[in-house]
Amino acid sequence: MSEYWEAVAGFEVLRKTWGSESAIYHTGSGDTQLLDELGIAILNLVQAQRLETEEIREHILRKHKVELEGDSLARLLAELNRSGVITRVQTP
Amino acid sequence: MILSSLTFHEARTRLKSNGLYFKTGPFTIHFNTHIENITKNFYKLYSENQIFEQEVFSDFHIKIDLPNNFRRWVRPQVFFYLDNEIPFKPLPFNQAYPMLEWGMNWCIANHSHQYLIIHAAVLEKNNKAIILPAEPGSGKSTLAAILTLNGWRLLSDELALISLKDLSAIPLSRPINLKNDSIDIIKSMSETCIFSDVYDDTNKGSVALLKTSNESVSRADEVAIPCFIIKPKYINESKASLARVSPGKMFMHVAENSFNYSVLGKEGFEVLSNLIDLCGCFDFIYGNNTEAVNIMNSLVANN
Repeated sequence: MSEYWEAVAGFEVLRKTWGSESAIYHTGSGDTQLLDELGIAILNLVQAQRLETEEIREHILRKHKVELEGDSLARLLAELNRSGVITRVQTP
Repeated sequence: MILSSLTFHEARTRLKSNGLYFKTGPFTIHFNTHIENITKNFYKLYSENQIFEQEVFSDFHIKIDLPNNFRRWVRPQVFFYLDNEIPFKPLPFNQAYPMLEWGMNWCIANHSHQYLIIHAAVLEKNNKAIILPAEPGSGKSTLAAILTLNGWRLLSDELALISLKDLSAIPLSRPINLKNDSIDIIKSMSETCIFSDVYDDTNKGSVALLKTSNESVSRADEVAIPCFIIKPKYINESKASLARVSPGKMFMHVAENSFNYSVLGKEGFEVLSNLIDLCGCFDFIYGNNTEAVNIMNSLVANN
């Protein structure tokens, strides 16, 4: 069984960027979050395609030269999941 | 016609009978009470507010009165009525006047979604408005009072009303709600300032309301353009410091201190984003009145 992350379809995610920070607003949940550049990069990745956690980690390392340590990626994904921006999908 | 053009006796008679129609900021309120302490303080603090001779359309029909049961006599309580409904629990009789102010705040914050409403003070000088969003106990109202006593125009103490159309700050100049130590701090600044009674043992501690300047009330139709959003923090005898805050962090702070950001949904996000774009964002720590006034004066003079 595989576990993927994907964007929740059917809702808009509004963004406002100031320098390295972006506020995002999910029109479905009504939640607002402040993300740094890395958070936005992860959101962009998941919005573009369905990915496993490890694939996201690899993309970030390859494109942004940032090694996401410990559970920092899991925490960010969980936060985006909680606010309804992305969702976890399990496939057989 | 303003409230002080009625004698106290006339105002009391109206409040007890058909009620009094008065204007505060963009709202018209129809108010009715039999409670003497409310009448006394209302007459003192709202003396410059416009009133209406005739029945007019009112945004809110408010009444504060004693109940018709034993709590009228035994440990008496007062009830707040909006359109003859009771929206929240009664308070002890000795908190009747603060209940009027808090009740009006509740009415406006819960019903006026034609504005983005932020828990913030708003003041203006040199045609530049500053918005002071903050949690209770941060020193927001103390700073608002200090600036008002030093020539700034008060647009709001508790509820910043931001137009969804053009981001202007809409005046809602009402008495400033001071708590605990800040009551004596402000009383010591001016012998001429007018206060309500002091109400002890409220859930906010001791509370007193400071009458705002006549100019702030008479210019109630003049909106102001927000230029700065400043998160204030009073620390006793601390040296003042004004430090830039990232727009993103201020966005989150204002959103958390807004009454209806989430009610407004997408529009709330867009309006708040545009408001942040319009303003410089700062953290402000202060502990000395003169220093605080000087820094705020130079901010609106230089930028």
